[in-house]
Amino acid sequence: MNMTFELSYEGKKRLVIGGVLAAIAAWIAVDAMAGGAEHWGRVFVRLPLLLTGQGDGWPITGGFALNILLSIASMAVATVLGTLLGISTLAQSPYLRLPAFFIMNFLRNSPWLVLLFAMLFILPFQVEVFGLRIPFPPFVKAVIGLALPTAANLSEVVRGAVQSIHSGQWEAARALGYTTPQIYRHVILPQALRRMIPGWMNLYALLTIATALATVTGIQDVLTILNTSLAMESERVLVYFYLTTLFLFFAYCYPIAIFARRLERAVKGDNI
Amino acid sequence: MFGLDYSWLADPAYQNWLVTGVINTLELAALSSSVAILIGMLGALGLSLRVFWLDALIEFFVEVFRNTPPLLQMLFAYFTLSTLGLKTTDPVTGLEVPLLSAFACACISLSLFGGALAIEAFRSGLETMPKAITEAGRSLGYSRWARFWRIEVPIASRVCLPSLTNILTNLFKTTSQASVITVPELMYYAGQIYNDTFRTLEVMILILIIYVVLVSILSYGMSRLEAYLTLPGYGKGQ
Amino acid sequence: MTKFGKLAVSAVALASAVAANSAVADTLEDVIARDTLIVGVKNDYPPYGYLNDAGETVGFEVELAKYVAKELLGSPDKIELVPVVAANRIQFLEAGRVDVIFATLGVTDQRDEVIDFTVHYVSAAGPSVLMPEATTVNSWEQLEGQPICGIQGSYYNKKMTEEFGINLVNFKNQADAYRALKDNRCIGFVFDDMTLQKKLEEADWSEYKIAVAPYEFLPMAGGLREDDPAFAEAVNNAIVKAEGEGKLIEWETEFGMPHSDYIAKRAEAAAAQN
Repeated sequence: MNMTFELSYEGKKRLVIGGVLAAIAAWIAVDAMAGGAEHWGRVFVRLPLLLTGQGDGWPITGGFALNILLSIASMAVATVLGTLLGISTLAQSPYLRLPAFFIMNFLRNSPWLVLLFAMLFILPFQVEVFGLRIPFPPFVKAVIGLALPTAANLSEVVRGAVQSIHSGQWEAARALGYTTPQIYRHVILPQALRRMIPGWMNLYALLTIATALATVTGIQDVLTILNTSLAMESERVLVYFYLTTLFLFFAYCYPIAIFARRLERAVKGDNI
Repeated sequence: MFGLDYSWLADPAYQNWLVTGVINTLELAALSSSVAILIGMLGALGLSLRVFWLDALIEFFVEVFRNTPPLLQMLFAYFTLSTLGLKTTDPVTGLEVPLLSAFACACISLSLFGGALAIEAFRSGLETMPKAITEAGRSLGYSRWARFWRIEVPIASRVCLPSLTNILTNLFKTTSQASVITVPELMYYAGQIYNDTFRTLEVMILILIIYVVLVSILSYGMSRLEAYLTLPGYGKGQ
Repeated sequence: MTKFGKLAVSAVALASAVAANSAVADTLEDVIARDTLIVGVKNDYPPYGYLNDAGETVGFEVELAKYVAKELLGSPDKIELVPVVAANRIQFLEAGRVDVIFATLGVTDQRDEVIDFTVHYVSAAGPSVLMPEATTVNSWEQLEGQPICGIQGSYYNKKMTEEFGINLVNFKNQADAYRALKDNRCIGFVFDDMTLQKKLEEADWSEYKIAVAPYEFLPMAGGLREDDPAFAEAVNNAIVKAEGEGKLIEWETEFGMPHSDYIAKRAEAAAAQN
């Protein structure tokens, strides 16, 4: 019997990654002792500002919290738009299918930054509908600007998931007298949903990363705040502020990416 | 049309800026795409060797670059690498200048960002490789490198072409963010022009259309390549 | 349909969305209904608008904005200050993000085509160039072909590149440009003379000097959306009242600006008028 302690391959890998993290921690510690502690102190002082947009952390008016809020709002809009767009590209009628394709391709092929920037100026600052004034503040413009490319990417995910449902199911449902909306609602979407979730989550992580671009709309997101704080700090703390902001994004997106990958593996085994 | 004023397009200075912008965008995209593909191939080869420490390091690299905004990566490279010691002395002025120009910073961060995505794509391409093929290569006496280069890359790159297309178009679109660190590409000149003419809406619509056309050409070219390279039994040839 | 056909259709769809743009505005009515004046100001531009040590936005133009708010709404605190930079101030005004901008806006013909100006309350020196102490450069002509940091949206950018042949490296905000100058990414920074003079007072910048002096003076004014007469009149009246009360001279003192003849003359004229 082999009594020596053997690590699995995954275990060894984890050990190395742990080693890398430990090395980074050690480097930070050494640097902190060599004077970096003071700089980290400055970051610590500004951390509530970076996270919430307020020096004392409450109420939340911006910062990384606004990026998360923005990502959630955009994803909600994108989910609705993307599903409609994805289903439209599968429609039988060319009057629905072709425009849906144009819109999807246009949005998929435009850079997020340019689209966001263009939306800032294309959308009016308020619209009047029946004498009712609906304002479009920059936050709403950022939500729309980020939701559009996300929706186009999501429509692709929706398309793929719907197409992956065996055609026999369509035929069976039709034979039972279901209409197309009914088939989508009761037969296709419930099954496709499971396959869409990993793609949807990956897209959410991508969108969260892209919220960094929203700084061009002038909202008080984490990058805008980062810039304002840097203007008040000495040049030596630059690296520490940038590393902190990079870490904020990583800490939020990495777990989502991991979770999405797990789901992906789970869904792969599905046979419908 | 629609009250849009494009008369500024007649000014040769602006025409010049637009053309320079497009050229710089293409240059930046071509350079960073090539490096990204190279990183992707080498990374996937590294992963396929199943050496635990290499595997761990590559995974670390991929996760860090995939899960942080490229915009921040570029700003970080531009503003902090020189304070971290990446400096050189200018032979003419004798001043200490940053080693990496804005263009180099953008190129490096885009390459690493694209490379991280490409590693994933190539890896899943290699994973779909039937064992029988690599074993056949081995029994024919191919070395590990020859097997990778002559058997696995040709097959895997065909399998992962669709996802590679996604990555390259994505990378092309991301080049617009280099404007933030003053790389004089299309988006940068867009800013120069609308700040001069104040025809913001008109400029942005034109720029958006130019980008969409360029990206469409890229993705069309990739789909032609895909069709041209199709092997019976793999990818779309199935 | 071809890919390009698809593009054309999408472009038209996009453009028609644009056509449904805003109607004639009455900003004064909106401001009174909202009970807040939304003003675009600089927060990185001493002495006109900057963050003090407590992180509050203060400065010459910020005081002016508060005075206008007081005249319009009865209290200088009924104001929302939106930080703007040269590259977005006019866009923010046009997009309705702000009601008015008091943000070191030089009066130029090109700007006059897209927005309206308030009365011209300051006459400021144009751009000068900040360079390391050791430089031998002292004229604009010597800068030809050289990399010089600048700010996107400055009115003189085209003149710099087209006339002087300067290789401008334009940033969105000043903090980035100062950093790039310190890193020697460019050999100088072309910017508003008074702000650069202020910067030289900081300890960090003792090894720099104004190497090239401004070539012109330019009046500065607030920016308003076009065709908004009621609001324009209200804002102008407020500014002239402030001038007549000698407020602008007080603010010059408060924010360490040299007293200018321009402001003194306007104060006299306004006082005589009142």
